[in-house]
Amino acid sequence: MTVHGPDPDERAPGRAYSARFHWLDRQVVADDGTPISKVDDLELDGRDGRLYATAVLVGPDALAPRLRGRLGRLVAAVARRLAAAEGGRPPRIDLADVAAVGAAVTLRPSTGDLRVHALEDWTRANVIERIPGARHASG
Amino acid sequence: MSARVRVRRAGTAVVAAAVLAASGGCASSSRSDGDWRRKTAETAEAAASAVRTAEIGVRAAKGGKATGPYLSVLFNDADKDLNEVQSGYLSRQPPSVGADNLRARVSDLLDEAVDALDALRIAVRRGQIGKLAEIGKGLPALAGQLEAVQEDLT
Amino acid sequence: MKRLLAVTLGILTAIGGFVDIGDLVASSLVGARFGFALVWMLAVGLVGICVYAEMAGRVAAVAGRPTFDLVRERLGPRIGLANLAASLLVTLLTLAAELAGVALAVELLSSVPYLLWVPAVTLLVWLVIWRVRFETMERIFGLLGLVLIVFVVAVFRLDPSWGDVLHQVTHPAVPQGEGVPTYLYYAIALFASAMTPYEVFFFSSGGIEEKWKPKDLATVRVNAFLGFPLGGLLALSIMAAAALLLHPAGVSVDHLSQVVLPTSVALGKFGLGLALIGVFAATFGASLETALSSGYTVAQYFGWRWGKTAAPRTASRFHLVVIVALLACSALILTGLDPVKVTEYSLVFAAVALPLTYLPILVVANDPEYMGEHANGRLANTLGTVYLVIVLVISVAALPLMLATKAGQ
Repeated sequence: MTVHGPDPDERAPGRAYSARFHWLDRQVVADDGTPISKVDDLELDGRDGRLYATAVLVGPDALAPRLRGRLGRLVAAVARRLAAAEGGRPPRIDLADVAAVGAAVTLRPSTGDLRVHALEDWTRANVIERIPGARHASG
Repeated sequence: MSARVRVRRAGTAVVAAAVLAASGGCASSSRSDGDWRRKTAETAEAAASAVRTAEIGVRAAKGGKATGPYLSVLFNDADKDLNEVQSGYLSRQPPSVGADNLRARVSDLLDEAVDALDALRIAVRRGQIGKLAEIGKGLPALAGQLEAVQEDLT
Repeated sequence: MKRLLAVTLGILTAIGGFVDIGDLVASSLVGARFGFALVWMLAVGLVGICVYAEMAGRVAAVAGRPTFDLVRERLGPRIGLANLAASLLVTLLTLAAELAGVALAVELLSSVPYLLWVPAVTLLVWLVIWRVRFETMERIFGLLGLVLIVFVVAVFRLDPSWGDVLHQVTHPAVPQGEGVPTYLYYAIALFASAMTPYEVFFFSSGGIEEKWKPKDLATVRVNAFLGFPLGGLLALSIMAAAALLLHPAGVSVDHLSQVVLPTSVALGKFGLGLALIGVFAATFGASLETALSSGYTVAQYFGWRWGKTAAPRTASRFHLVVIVALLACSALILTGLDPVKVTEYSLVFAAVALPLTYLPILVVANDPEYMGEHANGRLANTLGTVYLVIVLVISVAALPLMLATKAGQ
């Protein structure tokens, strides 16, 4: 499957983006290199008989179908438990926010709070910040 | 361990029955005898290893080369190993009356070894490092006897 | 000195592969049972980890991607998850054993039973991860672990006939009374522990924690080609000391107390004390390595923010994984499980994890899209391929040999 990324013209002929190879399971990082998430799945949109990727999908809800089988169902079940309050749709990062695809998928500097971190936020508030010294980098 | 042994014993029984049938009643217990001899050799080897460990420890203590806490743990570990070896061996049924002699010989040696290591352990705990050489002077001969048993059987 | 400080990451990583508690006992056991007949396998494993650590470190410096990141990216989420499960089991079983190993070293110094020390050791390991700078941590425990060089001194004091030793090393033979399967089992155990997967996870992640960039490739190489051989030298000296003192006496090694016995005999109380300090530092360093590696692998599989250089609140999930790992391992070892046996059994999981870890590294290190001009040269590729084949053979043979020999008994 060939999916058209942000700037297909930049690629040399014969080296088109492959969704599976260049996008799926790649690390998403902020413009300063801070890890954000993995590309757990892609949101696809069909236009003029072609598929276009429109967003990166994040989190266990997005990953579970790709794990298939019993394992996938297990991950999905755990995810549902963990994210009881969420609307059921996996968090997404619009491809318009993507600056570059290389060894990692780098986002644009302006990208604000992506709200892809429900578990991180919960862990921080309920466990880590309650331990003295959580705000200080040990370096 | 026990499950495996049980399986092996069951296998032994089947083989023994087959041999019995084939030889028309002239039974041979060589298979279980062989097992027993191997087990005895392994026991002697493991016991000799524990005794030799203690012997080297005593040698180090004599030269003032080892600390009390260290020797205490060293002898304790060796003693524990030896006790396991002993109880493992004594819990086995000797296959024939002919094996009783061997069993008695090895079991005497094991008793002697356990006593020697106990004495070392107790002395170290009491801080009597200076006495270790005296207490442990029988260790080399004891280890030699255990090794001789092993060599006889293999 | 500056050179030495630059390689402490390599040294600390190598300590986890060559002189952690399982390897301390295994090296001594192998020396006592097989003399010098398995030294060659130690050398084979050493070259393998050097080749792949260099590759993993190079990928970290050039592409900025740690190893487990690549594992999921190249193998997909399903096989990646299988590797995560297997590697995590190896790492956690090792961590549990290391916590006991630190406590055992303290027991040998104090004669207070080791289980009483385990909770304090666990807390101390966590505090170091929580509060101490990465570089400080790696320098303290890397350099202090080098105190194990006392075993090298002990080997010289035991005054072997070197010609004889050389002959045994170069003409390895299965000793009388040992079966070939047992010999092969220990050969595999030595190899698998030299190349144990958490080393490359820790090494590549540590490189990123130290902010390696392409200009640091020289540092990567010095770490891989100096740090790991130093670890291998320590393992070799422990094996040699046992081969010289315990092998002739017919001692079979099961306990840490026997491992350090040659230093006591050869060098006295001072040597023994140094050996115990070295064991403490090495097992503590291996605890840090395995605890951090469990956090690194989970966080990198799921794409979370990770690392101990940032404030813990910014990498909450990573720190939570480390805390849970430490608590679980501490609880496991407090049940009184034999720590040395625990590391032996982790070999089963290494069989799955080894090929699934090294294949992605080799693939990505060859990919010019990641590596540009720093992609693998012919030598790295030849060695990398040869070792991938060895790793595959070993992963297939490990389990049957383990069952056939009842884990080398």
